[in-house]
Amino acid sequence: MPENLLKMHNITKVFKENNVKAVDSSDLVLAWGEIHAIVGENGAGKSTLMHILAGELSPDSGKIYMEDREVEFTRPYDSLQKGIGMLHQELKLIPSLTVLENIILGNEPAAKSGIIDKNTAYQKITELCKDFDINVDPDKMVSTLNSDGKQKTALLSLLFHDLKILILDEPTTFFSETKVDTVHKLIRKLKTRGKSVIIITHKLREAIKISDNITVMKTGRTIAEIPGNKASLDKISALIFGTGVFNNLEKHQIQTGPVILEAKKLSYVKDKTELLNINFMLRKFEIVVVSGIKENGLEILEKILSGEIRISSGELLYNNESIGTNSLNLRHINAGYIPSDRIKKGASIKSSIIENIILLKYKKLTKFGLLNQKAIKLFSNNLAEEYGIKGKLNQTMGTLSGGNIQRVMIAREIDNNPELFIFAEPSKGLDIKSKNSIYKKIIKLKENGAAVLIISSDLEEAMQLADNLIILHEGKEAANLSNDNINKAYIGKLMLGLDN
Amino acid sequence: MNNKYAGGSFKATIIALCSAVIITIVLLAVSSDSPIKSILFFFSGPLTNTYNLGNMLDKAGLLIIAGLGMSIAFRAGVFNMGGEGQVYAGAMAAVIVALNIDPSNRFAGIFTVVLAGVLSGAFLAGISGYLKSKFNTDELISSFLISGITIHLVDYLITNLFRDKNSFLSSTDKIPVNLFLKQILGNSHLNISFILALILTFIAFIFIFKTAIGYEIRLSGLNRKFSEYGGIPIKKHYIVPMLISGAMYGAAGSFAALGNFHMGIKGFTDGLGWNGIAVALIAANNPAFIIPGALIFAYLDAGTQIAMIHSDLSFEFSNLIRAVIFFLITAKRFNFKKADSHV
Repeated sequence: MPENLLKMHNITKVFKENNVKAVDSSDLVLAWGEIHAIVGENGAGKSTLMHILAGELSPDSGKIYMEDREVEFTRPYDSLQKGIGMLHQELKLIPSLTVLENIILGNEPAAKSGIIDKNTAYQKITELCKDFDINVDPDKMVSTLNSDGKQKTALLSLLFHDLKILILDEPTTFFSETKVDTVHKLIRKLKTRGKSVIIITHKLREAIKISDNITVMKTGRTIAEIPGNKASLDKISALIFGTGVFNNLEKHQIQTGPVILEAKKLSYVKDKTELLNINFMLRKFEIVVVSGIKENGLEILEKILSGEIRISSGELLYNNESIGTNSLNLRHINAGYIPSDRIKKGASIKSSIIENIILLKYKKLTKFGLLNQKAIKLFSNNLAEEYGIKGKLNQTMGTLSGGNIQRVMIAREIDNNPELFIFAEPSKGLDIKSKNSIYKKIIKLKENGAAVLIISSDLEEAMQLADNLIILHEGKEAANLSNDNINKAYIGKLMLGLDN
Repeated sequence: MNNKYAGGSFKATIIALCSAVIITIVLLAVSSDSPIKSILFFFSGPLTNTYNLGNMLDKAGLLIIAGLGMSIAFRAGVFNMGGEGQVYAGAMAAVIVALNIDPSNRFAGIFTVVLAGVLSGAFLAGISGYLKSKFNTDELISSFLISGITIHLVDYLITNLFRDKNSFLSSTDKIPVNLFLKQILGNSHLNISFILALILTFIAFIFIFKTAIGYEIRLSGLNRKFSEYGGIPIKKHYIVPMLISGAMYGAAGSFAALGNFHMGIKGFTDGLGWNGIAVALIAANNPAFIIPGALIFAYLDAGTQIAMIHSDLSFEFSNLIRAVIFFLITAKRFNFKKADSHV
């Protein structure tokens, strides 16, 4: 028998869109019946590495071996054929089909006539449900299930495929504490059946509790593999976040000005409490950073502040005037805003640089309703020069690098001269050079008197920029810190919910 | 003309058009008893005399106007599938007004008549735009359905309320001669509306590429999320492009009534709605290419008609060719565009 079930060797993946090395010479070894956790910061490359294993992405270099034989996965079907399946965070189900139809999709047991043998499928599913203690009605329409039922359906379809390796992406994020135990039980049961399980998780306690081995990833690399019984919270969080202390950029302490934006007990409740009692005050000459790990409330906060959703309770005050639970109209109050979704929201990829850069100014660049081409050219040229935008101005945005797209957006937003600035994930997908230039711009903004709110899941970035750092964990404020004596390891623990 | 405005691949368009011509020739060859003669008529027919040429150009003029409206709607990512009903309603409104006003002042009369056509087309399309912006009702479906109803209503008006009882046709009375559009090429139907179509092309080009509202419309069509983020009133830009394309269809309908038919005949604008879409797609939604697009379409259409008249081919043959052209052009880009705009 070969030594290992799976070996990933020297895997590298560069995303051409933004030239970022998402996975960098990473390795992973997995034995039969092993539970293996992959941990690391946001953007450390965990999901990318697993998408490669699931056949959803092709690596640029590196090799994958199953039972000592080299394999190549170019599509998810290839991985499934070799017994590898992935449970995604965003479940891929068809709402208008029943649970059973979703489960057997792609693996339909058929009679000789070619007709799907639903009885066999039904039987097998009932057995699986019994075996793994899962409770879901196979005849129900998926659209009628709650998120719990959908998760179970997705899980059952993996089990139905009779896989060797199950990859679970944040399997417990959407479960309450009691349900988490059920998931853990299920994972252990899979192990006793000889199946191997890889979990991607942000929950270090979970990783230590249930896994045989833990791989730590940082900036695309697999930097350590630790046996579960030798791992400790301190050790792993130090590996993930490093042990450095506050690494502040050259910031001049400036007297802050009046409060521009204030949040009082902001809450957002939908299926569950997504955000609870968030408070902050943002003044002129100040940068407030709200940080945390994905799915802990950052995305919701961005949606609230950009007016996409309304808060359930609490209050937002702009210039000391309450806007109640109404949503903020950023363009109305002339605020600058860089959304985290650059490609779909922050830019029109099929339009030219010019057409993107004049978005907030085109009305002023017209004469009798006609666009004043001369003024537009001058305006765009000036901004391109000032912000170092490379490329021809009539080039489409889609052909630009991530850093260049970012500069177009920043130029557009800053030129509008806003008093309030909201950046969501300001350096997402950028290389170091572009990152630093964005940071400088942000600090300059502040020094010129703007009130800057940054929503960022990048801890390093958060610590570098913040005058005031708010950490969210599971939708709640885990800490509200000022900029002195912030220790990285400590914040890392706060983000992971480990401080108690 | 700069390629950056095209928004579509020319190669694919050319291939689609060439395939249409080849299929037409093949169909002519297999279904005609004298294939060579039919094929010759197909190619040379529209150019043999001023009558044929003028009629072809008249069709092209109407297609230009219809195509311009559609191209603006497509640019905005809005789908007006109700062209058939809007043209028909526009034409009928024009006829009704023409039959009921004092025709002595020619200019004012024609203006009023065309205005009635424009307003009815815009109104019908506007309903779908409004429903889309208010309730997110799919404008593609609603405009198509409204058009379906409209066609039957207009049929009813022509065959019942306004029917000329002395005529063998299902038609209305003839409109006053003073309201006819001035013919400009022999006794062909070609009239001053063709010149107006050329002027409208220029205006549409300026509108879509050079004005602030054109910028808003184009951005909304390319990325509604981005446009909303930038503070562009995206809801308005479901309605405005619908109104414009409906108005253009209405105008095309009233020009057909005043310049060509001079009365309302059951089904008299048949096909202009769909063919306007085909022309917009041939032109890649760029007003600058609408004129050649409409000329090509009108030429192919006239060619088949003339080949049909001068040979043993059945009347349905020209419809078949229209279908072939429409199918090939839309297959190339249509679905893709729809998927795009709903991102």
